This record gives sequence, C-alpha cells and structure tokens, in this order.
Amino acid sequence: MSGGEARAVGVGSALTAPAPRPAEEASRLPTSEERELRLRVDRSSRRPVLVAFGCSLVALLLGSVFGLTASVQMHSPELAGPGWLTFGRVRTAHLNAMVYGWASLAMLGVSLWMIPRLVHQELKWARLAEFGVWIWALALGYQLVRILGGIPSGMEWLEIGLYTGDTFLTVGGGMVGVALLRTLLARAVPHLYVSVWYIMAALIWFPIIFITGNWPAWAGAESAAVNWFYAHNALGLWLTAINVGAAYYLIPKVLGRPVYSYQLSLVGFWTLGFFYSLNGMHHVIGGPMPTWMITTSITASVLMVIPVAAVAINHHMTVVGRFAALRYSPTLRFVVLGAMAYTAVSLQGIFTALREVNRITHFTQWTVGHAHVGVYAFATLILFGSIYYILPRVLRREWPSARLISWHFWLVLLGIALYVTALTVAGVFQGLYLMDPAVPFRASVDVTLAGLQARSVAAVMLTAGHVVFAWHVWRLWRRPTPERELAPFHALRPVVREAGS
Amino acid sequence: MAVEGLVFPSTLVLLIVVLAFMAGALVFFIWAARAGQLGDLDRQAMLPLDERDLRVSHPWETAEQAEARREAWGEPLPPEPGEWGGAE
Amino acid sequence: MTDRDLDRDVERMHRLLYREPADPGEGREPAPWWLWVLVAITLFWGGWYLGRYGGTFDASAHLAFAGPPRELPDERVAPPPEDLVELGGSLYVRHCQTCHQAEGEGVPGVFPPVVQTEWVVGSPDVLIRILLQGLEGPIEVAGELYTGFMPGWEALLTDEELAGVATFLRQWQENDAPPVAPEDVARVRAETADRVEPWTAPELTDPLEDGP
Repeated sequence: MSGGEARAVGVGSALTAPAPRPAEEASRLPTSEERELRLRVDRSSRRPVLVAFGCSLVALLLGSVFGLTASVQMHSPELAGPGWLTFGRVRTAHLNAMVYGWASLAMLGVSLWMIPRLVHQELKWARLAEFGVWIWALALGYQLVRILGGIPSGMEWLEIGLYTGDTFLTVGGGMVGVALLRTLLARAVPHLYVSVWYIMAALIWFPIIFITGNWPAWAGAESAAVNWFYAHNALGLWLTAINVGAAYYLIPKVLGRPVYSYQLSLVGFWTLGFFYSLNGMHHVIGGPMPTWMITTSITASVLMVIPVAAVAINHHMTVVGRFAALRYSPTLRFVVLGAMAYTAVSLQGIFTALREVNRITHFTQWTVGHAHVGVYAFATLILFGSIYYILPRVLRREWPSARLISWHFWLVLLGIALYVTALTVAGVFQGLYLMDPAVPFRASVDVTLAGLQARSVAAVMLTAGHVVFAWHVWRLWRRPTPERELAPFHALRPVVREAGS
Repeated sequence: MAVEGLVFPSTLVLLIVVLAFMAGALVFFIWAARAGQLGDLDRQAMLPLDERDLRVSHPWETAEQAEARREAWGEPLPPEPGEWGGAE
Repeated sequence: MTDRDLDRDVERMHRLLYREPADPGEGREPAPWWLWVLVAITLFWGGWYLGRYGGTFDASAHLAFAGPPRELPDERVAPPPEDLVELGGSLYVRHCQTCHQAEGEGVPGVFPPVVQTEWVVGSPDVLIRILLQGLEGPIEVAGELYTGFMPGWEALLTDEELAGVATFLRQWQENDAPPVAPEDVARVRAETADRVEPWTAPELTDPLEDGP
C-alpha cells in the first residue's frame, strides 16, 4: 500500500534531510505550539464532556444503590419493600442506569474529549453535542422512574419505552455523533488513529443495532433472536469498541511510547468490525432457532479469539517492562487492569459460547458474573481511568487527594474480584445441580446462597468505592482554580529555551 | 407489539442486518485502503503522542530505558503534577 | 485542511520519527508468528464446527411458524405404557404432583394427602367421580380438615388414563386396593354425564354411608 497523498507530500524531504541531533532539535520543536493546540482543543469540548461525566456519575450512584438493593433481595426476599422496590423493578433499573446512564454517558464524554484530541481539531458543533447529552440523560432519568413504576418494555436490555425513551436516546446520541463526525471531517491530521476508528465506528454501529433491537415488528422467537442480537452487540460493538479505543489512546499516552504493533491494532479493529455482529445468537443455544444460525454464531464467537489476542498482545507488549508505571499513574492502573479484564472476559465468553459449557452455565449466576467482568472489570475500570486522566485536563486543576484515589481503586478492585469469584463458583454448582435429575430443584437454589451473600458484600464495597469517587470528583469540581492556572504552559517555555541556548 | 399476521422470520432479519454490517465494514475498509489509512503505520502509531509525552522524564523507567529516551528525544523535561492522570 | 497544514503536520510527524535511533522497532513490530498459527487453527476449527453442527440450511427453518406443523415419524413417539400403574404414575407426575406433592403427602390445610386415606382406597366410584369432575370445599381426610379446589379431568384424560391414575393411587406406597378398569371409568362417566360443577365432600360421603 503506497500510503496515498499524505505520504507523497512529506516523505521525500524528510528522508533526504540529515537527521538533526537531539540537542539542536529541541529548540526548534513546536512543543509550546502543541500545548496551545491541546489547550484549545480541550477547551472546545469542555462543556459537553463535563455534562456527560456529571450525568454519568449521578447514574453511577443511583445504579449502585439499585444494584445493592437487588443483590440483598436475592438472598433475603423478606426485605422486598413496596412495589417499586421489588426485585424485578430494581434489578431492571440497575441495569439501565448502569448501561445507558453510567457507561454510555461516560463513553460519550470520553469520545467527545478524545476525538478532537486525536484529529487535532476543536470540537465542532459543541452546543449540539451538549444538547444531545442532555436529551440522552433526561430521557434516561424519566425512563428509570417508569421502570420503577412498573412499566418497562419487558425485554432484557430493551426495557426503555419505545416512544418515550428509545427515540430520545437515538436522537440525543445521534446529535453527539453528528458533532463528532463534523469534527472528524474537519480534521487537521491525515490519518485516523486506531482509537478514532473504534470510537467513530461505535457511534455508527450503536444506532443501527439500537434501532434494529427496538423495531416493534418482532414477536415470539424472533423477538428473542433480535433481542440478543442487540444485547450482545451493545456489549461488543458499543461498550467494547469505545473502551478499547480509549485504552489504545491512554496507554501510549501515559507510557510515552507508541503501541507495540500498530499493524496488530488494525488487524484487531477490522476483524472485530467484520465479524462481531454474528455473535449474539450464542445467547439462545437450545432455544427454538435454526441450528445453523446458532452454530454460525458459536463459530464466530470462537473466531473472536483473533481480535482479542491482537488487542491483548498489543496492550501487554506496550506495558511490559514498565509495569512500575502503575504505581505512578492511577489512570494507567485502572486502564491496564481494564484491558486485562477485556482479555479475560472475551476468553470466558468464547468458552461459555461452546455448547458443552453453555448447557451447564446457562440460566445460572455464572452469566451474571460474566456480565460484570465485561461491564465492570473491563468497561467501568477503563472509564474510571479515562475520567482520572480527562477531568483535570478539562477543568485545569489537579485531583486533590491521592489517598481517595487509592481508596477508590482498592475498594472497586477487591469488590469486583469478590463479586466475580462468588457468582462464578455459585453458578457452576447451580448449573451442575440443575443438570442432575436426582437433585431436587430446591438444592440448586440453596447452593447459590453463600455466593449471593458474598455478592452483597462485594456490592457494598463497590458502592462505597463509587461514593468515594463521586466525593472526590465533587471536591475537584469545588476546588478553586489554582492561581497558576496557565502556569504549566508558561513555565515550560524557559525550559525549552534553555535547552536550545 | 407485533402486527397480527405479519410474521417475519428472525433469521432473515438478522441475516440482512449482519450482511449490512459486513458490507458497511467492507465499504469503509476499501475507503481506508485507498485513502492510505492502512499504510504509513509508523506515523500513525505516533499520532497520539506529543513531543512532551516523549520527552518528559518517566520516573518508573529503568536506567537504560531513560537513557534511550534521552538519546532519542533530548534532555528530559520534569513531569508536572498529574502528568499521567490522577494525584500521585 | 489546507495543503500547508498537511505539509507542516507531515513534516512534524516525520521529524519525531527520524530522530528515534534508540528504539526503531517501537510501534512497528509485526504481529508475532504464533498469532497467525492461532488464526489458522481457529479458522480450521470453525470450518469443522460449522460442518459438524451446522444442521440443514433447509428453508423450513425460516418458515417454522408459517407452514403446517410437520408430522413426526412414528418411531419417535414413545408408545403409551401398557401397564396401568406405569401409565398412572407418569400422569400423576405431570398433572397431580404440583398439589399433592411428590410423596403424595399433600399440603396441610389446602391439598389433602392421597396415601392412607379412605377416599382413595375406598369405593372406586367415589375416586373416579373426584377425578372426573373435581372436588370443591371443605373435606376431612385422616382427621385433618382441608379447604381447597381440585379441577376435574374428564375433558383432558381418557378412560384408560383415568383408570391408570386411579389404579396407581390405590396401589401406591402403603395403599393396597384392587385396580380400577377403564370400563369402570366409562360407566361412571356415563352416569355423571350431566354433572358439570365439582363435587362436594358431603355429596360423596352420603351414598358411602349407605354403601356396600
């Protein structure tokens, strides 16, 4: 591949010119120019990013309370409370608050910040994007009330009302997408970095699967098939794509070195883009669907080992030999753990998609544990890391407390480890008991009890971690802007000049 | 909410959507190849990194890594608070 | 994007690159060889799996809901058990166990037990009536009072099946009463053809007291 116009313009002169010696070069480097650009770009996306992160944090806290309530009710049903606090509604509210509130809004915030940075261009139509984020957040808030009031749509992951919610989410998300697309078209760099591919693709994929999933024409077994087509791709083409994209930006950025193999990152992106959408049907193994459809889906799921290995190798090899950096950078700590969880959840998912495994784990707590490795240990940890990196740059003041970050990190890390271990073990026993006709059904319920109780302990830890995080963000927000607001940029110049003189 | 009597096989729906996905990916892939997005990988890999990210001293690096960085990018700059995301 | 911007950008990026003698491999490592081996193995496995478990690409898969249901070949339908007790036992699990429980012990106050009770091992005509039209209201069984509702099965089960259930119950566990023949069920069904609503306990006990 010749590399097109961009290459043709620049390469010749650069190749013939002798490489300058570093010391001489330093004085002529446009370092301050780069910083001015970053400053300008970050300022352009400031408002929509702050709105998105703010709303996502409210959803995170609400979702944590819903999740904790639902978790406690699983092992102590006597604590059910009034109708709106019963398991069926609280659990549904938890899922929607976390997926569409916390994760999706935070992802919109990350996208709105990262795309302008990567295309070296201010965010275009920022007002439109901000308005879109508000529409998404307010529509979702209303939907959570509806769900607690007992009028969800009745399909997993699609509980939001069609005309009162889905429409607004589509329009709101679409406005963010359009603003980012406009920014992308105005880009000041010829190339699209792999994160841009992931994020922009996710912003195109999501409305397609969301509209397909919500289209009100499916019934019976079809609606199950379309339902899982949507729900699985919401994980793989929405949550995964944006968070992998964020990791591809943040890991090199913190370590100050490019990714191990850029070629591999493109292999990973394109195999995901081409084949991921086949995957959803492994959720209906054993259901009334044509065998070939489910088999195709299982095969595609196993083939996903290719993009997963590509991403895993790339992330690991970039960090390898520099793991000490995790001590210095909270962002990297969250992002690297999130990236490891991505590998783990993908391999676990591939394993679970096999018929032999699925007949044991289907309809057990294993699935709940697996979902949380994906949405929490992978997506949420990367989002935490991104917010730790992005918020100070957008607000231009530093996090007030390293202690609070440590508390947040260890609470959520130990919390999610306990959560996943408890439910995975409980799920395996539950599945084995369900398969054994000699064991009464009741025993398969009883055997999960310890796991469910441990899960509630984990839920308390995670909720506590989120409260610490939200409190820290609040303190950052309330913190007076330091006098040296512009100091880093001015302070730097003498250093550069000295190097040159 | 299905329309009475209008049953549409889910397999067909999903086949169409999945094929559309693949066709879309193919269109973008062809564009990417023609626009040179798949070449010049060295430059692309450096795209998110500013001069500062490469020059700033990274306290966790071993002596050799730091020396290699100094040789490539010049005398290291001192990191700012919160340089790598978070207070530490 | 103007040409000038592009030029400047390209130039800058290249300057960064060409001044990097220390670690020229960074960012341009090829994919490791074993990844391609993994790719080959996975693709091979995928082909095998599709062939092994792909099923047929029969159009009927798409039309499952539109066309008439396909007849299953006869050999796949298990013949009904010839033994009345075996037939009754399987029917009990399917239709009765939810209320009367796995060991026939019932649920206190609601669903009476079916073992060690005169209602089951006594007159076959009473048992058949209960099975045919059901039973409603208070009933005393083994000294305990039960108030519940049992639906009738006359519309759902054949004479032979009801005879099976009755025989199974009468010989289950400690119960040891003579079997009930399909003809008995047919006779009682004819006698009670006008009866629609469920029986009550007094209606069934009165003839019992005069009984044989």
